[in-house]
Parts: sequence; C-alpha cells; structure tokens
Amino acid sequence: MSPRVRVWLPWAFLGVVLAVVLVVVVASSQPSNSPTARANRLAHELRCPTCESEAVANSQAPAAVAIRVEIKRRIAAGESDAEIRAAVVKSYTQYVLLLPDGHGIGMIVWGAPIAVLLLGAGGLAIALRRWSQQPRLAATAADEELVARARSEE
Amino acid sequence: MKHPARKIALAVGALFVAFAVLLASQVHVSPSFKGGRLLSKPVPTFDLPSLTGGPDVRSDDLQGKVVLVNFWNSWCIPCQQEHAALSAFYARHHADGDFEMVGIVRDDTASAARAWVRAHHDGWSFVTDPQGQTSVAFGTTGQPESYMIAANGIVVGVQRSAVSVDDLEKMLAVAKSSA
Repeated sequence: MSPRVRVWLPWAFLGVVLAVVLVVVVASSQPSNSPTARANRLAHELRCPTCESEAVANSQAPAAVAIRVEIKRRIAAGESDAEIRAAVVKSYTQYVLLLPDGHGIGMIVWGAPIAVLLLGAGGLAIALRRWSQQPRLAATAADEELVARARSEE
Repeated sequence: MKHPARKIALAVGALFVAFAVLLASQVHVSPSFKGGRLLSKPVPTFDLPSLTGGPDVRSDDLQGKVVLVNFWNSWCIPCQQEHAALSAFYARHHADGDFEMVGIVRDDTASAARAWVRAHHDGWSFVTDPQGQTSVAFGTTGQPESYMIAANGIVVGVQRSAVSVDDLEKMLAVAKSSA
C-alpha cells in the first residue's frame, strides 16, 4: 500500500460511514404517509377557527371536530395534503394556517429572518475582507526609540 | 461606498428592530376569524338528507332560485330568538315561485332538532349535516348563520348572528337585483 493511499484510506472510510449514517437518518426521518399520520399532521397545521390559537387536532369545538372529519374524508377521497389545506383555507381563509404559507405576510415572516441572516453574513464577510486587506502596521524608528527609552527607564 | 460593512450592519440592525417591533406589537393581539370568503362567491355544493323525512336537498336542484340557507340548532338561544323573524319572512315569501329556505342543523342531534321543528310547525326545508361537511364548506363558526344566495348561485348576503326580518328583506332585495 502506497503511503498516499495509507493517508487517504481512513478519510475515505470515514466518508463512507458518514454517507451511510446520513442516508439512514434521512430515510428514517421521512414522515409517515399513512392516512392517520397525514390526518394528524394536517390537523396540527390548521387552527381551530373558533378557538384561541389552538390547533384543530387539540380542540373539541364543533368547528374543529368538523374540520377533522373533513380532513379524513378528503384523504379517503384521494386528495393531497396541499388540496386539503387549500379546501380548508377556501372556507376559513389563511387565518386557519398555523404555519404561514409563502405568500403575502407569510413571505415576510419566513423571509425576514433569512434576509437578516444573509445580510449579516454578507456584512461580516465584507468586513473581514477589508480588515485582512489592511496593511500591517510596522514600527517606525521613532517608535523603536520610544520603546527602548521606556525600557531603559524601568 | 466608503464603509459598506457599516451600511450593511445598519440595514441588518434596522431590519432586526423592525421585525422585533412587528412581533412585539402582536404580543397582546389575539387572532380571531373574521368570517369566510363566501360573500360574492359561488355557494358550495351540498346534498343533505332531510331532517323530517322528505327528499334530500341538493344545491343543484336550487339553481335558478333565491335561497336562504340558515345554520341553526335547537339549543342555541340566538337561534331561538331569530326564529320569529325567519317564520315571518318565510310566511311573506314562501309563495314566491323563485324562493326557497333551507335550515341546516349544526352541532345538534337530529332528534332534538326534529322535535323543535315539529313543535314550531315550520314549513321550510330542514336538513342535517351529519359529517359537518357543509358547515365546513360554508366556513361556519357557530350558529345561527344565514346566507342569501342569488338565483345565479352567488352568495350575496352573510350574517353571522341572529337575523331580523329587515336584515332578511335587505339581503333578498340584493339577491333579486343581482340575478
């Protein structure tokens, strides 16, 4: 085995292990698509229209119960999550979305923190670049003399 | 630009402060549902079983007529309070060939609602909404809620509280003028 291979082999092994772990984690974290899991997930995403900031999943208000039944009925009818969400929004407006969507005020809610983060990172990058480009200060003869005098006085 | 980093930092700070102010201003704001989008929109389709043993009521069969849809139940006090207005309004218009009234039971047992209808000898159509599908499609949040639908199937009046005869006449006038 050449020295070069000997150096790279552990890194390659580590890379393979990391890739396998990543695949396993991603695969195991995929949400279940069973009808019950989908209904439960959607019920947690939607706000009960007659409650105070309570998800449809957690409320026993008649409107919340009816929406839960409607979610299950639409899942059984083969509708996608997006279609079901859109149907409930059509009846109860965007108000029922506990997670804002990517339009209107939702775009600001999602976009503002990302914009702040990107601008901050950009500003930091520019500042670091400017600082790294500044010439290092060199001591002049006068500086050296000043320090030498101070030391001799100690 | 002499100090781009400083300007970016200021912009970031301003955005951060604006976002914080926006969030802080909402701390004591309790969101509430202000009503659905049905006004000026087509009425949701429905096909509901009769409460009193008559034929099913289908929205398709009501096309071409002005229809008052009233969500109600037997135990809600405002429903009981508006009953006299509904009865008077129905008595005034039930002979009109182009007018129908449908009471949809919301959040009640069929037996209790049926007993109420029989006790009050109401003549208009009463249906149940067993799965609540129609009440969700209308975006209801309670009862009583009344929807006036023009002959072209567009909702022209919505009231989410007890109605008076005057309220109903105004909605009917809009429905007739918009057909």
